[in-house]
Amino acid sequence: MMEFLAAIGRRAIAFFAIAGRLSLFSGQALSHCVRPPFYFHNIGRQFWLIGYNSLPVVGMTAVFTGATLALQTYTGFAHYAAPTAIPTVVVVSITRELGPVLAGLMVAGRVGAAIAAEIGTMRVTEQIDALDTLATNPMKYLVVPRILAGLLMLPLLVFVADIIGVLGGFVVSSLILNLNEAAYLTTTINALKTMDVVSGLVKASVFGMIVAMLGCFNGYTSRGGAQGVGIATTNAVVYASVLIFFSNYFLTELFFAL
Amino acid sequence: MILTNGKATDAKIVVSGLKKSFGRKKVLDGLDLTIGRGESLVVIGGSGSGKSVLLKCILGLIRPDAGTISINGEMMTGADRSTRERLRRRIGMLFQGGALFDSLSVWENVAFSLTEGEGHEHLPRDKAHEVAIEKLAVVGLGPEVANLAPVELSGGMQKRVALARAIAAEPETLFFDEPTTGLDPIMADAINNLIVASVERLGATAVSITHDMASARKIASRIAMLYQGKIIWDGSAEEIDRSDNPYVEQFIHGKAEGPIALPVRAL
Repeated sequence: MMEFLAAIGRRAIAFFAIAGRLSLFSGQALSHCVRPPFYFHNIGRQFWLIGYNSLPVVGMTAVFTGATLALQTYTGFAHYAAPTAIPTVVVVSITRELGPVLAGLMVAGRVGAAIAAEIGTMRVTEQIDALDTLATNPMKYLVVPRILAGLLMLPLLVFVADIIGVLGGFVVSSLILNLNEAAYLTTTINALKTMDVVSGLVKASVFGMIVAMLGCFNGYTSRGGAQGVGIATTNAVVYASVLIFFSNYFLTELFFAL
Repeated sequence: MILTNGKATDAKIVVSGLKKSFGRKKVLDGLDLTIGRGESLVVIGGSGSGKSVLLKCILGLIRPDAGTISINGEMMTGADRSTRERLRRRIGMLFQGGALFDSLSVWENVAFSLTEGEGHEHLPRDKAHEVAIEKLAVVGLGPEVANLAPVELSGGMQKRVALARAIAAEPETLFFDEPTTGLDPIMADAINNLIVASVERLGATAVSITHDMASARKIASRIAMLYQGKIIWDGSAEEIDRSDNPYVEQFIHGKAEGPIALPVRAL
């Protein structure tokens, strides 16, 4: 019994130790985001890598999600009010939930893993120590550009994903389900509220920061060669995905309360 | 001339009572060391004896548990980030694996301290490129490697590029972490020659750590041996072969038998 309790205690201590380290790391990283100097070429490069290069994967996810959503909604609402239900369900689901959450998860898999692997490799090959000895703050040089890129690029990606997702639903509804195109578009526009888009974009910003922060944290604190980098990469994706779902619930509650 | 810890007027680096443990393992145990201006000190010791930890403590990359380190009379231990960065701007470091930045080309690596970093004027890229080509020539590399990625170079060439990066800002103090590890004997000797030449040309103070005695004899004006967290022998490079210290004798002759016990079991 004591051993069992001790095991739980050890895990609890380890959890709180990681949570504490992550909090300190996040505080430090965010404070550097607003303090010069800024490495603008690194920031621009990360905007390109995290934003532009994620466009295909996020776009593909959005178009098929919108299309599938239209088909599923048609199945559910075929006997009731499919022509109005489908565009409404598609646009609200995509902008409020599916756009930011799925884009966040795809970016966590693509970008979060890449960040953790790159920074982790830099850690175990002493490149981060080298930055320090070259009087360059690794937080400013490596972490800040990625955090800013996550924070600012994911909302842009989600905005594009929203359009593509709705377009996917529209194409399926008009070509396969034979709904009237003009009516579909009118219903979509009428159903869409500014808050739907804004809440989705705010969520995207938070998810982008979570993905970048966990990628940087896991990479930065990785130890022990290739195996350590592998563990860091896995942890970055898993923790980011879980935190996206977790924060999504609370953000949704917050927006309902507004 | 070195007098006593902290009191020497021409001491460049003073390490006093340095302690560092990882878990239960004591790596540095009250280590004292004074390095004079213009000296080339080589710290020798077996694998896992704490040489790298000592170097990283001096550079402020690892925080010691106790003790003090001062460089140019300024405290490195407990210093804020801006002080550490100011001190590091006068330091060059050659890492064991080179630690070249994968995402940058060779010349960008060499010119890094001139184009990046905080608290100093940055050189324009075209000027920095010129300086990088110059420094590459100093370490025997031609301009044709300047635009290559570090991964396209051999181990020896990577070490040369890393050395060029270390000397690019013409530092007052140079640190070398196992500079010849992983190199063939000829390339190792070439790197040793480059280190000696660079230190002489810059008039820099040099601190190297190695377990390669050929390298130590070549680059050191003074050698110190680290064992069980303390400096157990300290003398000139010429004196080490005449030392009657059994630990030193075992180490420099590379004998398995002797007072330094290896953590291996007999078959």
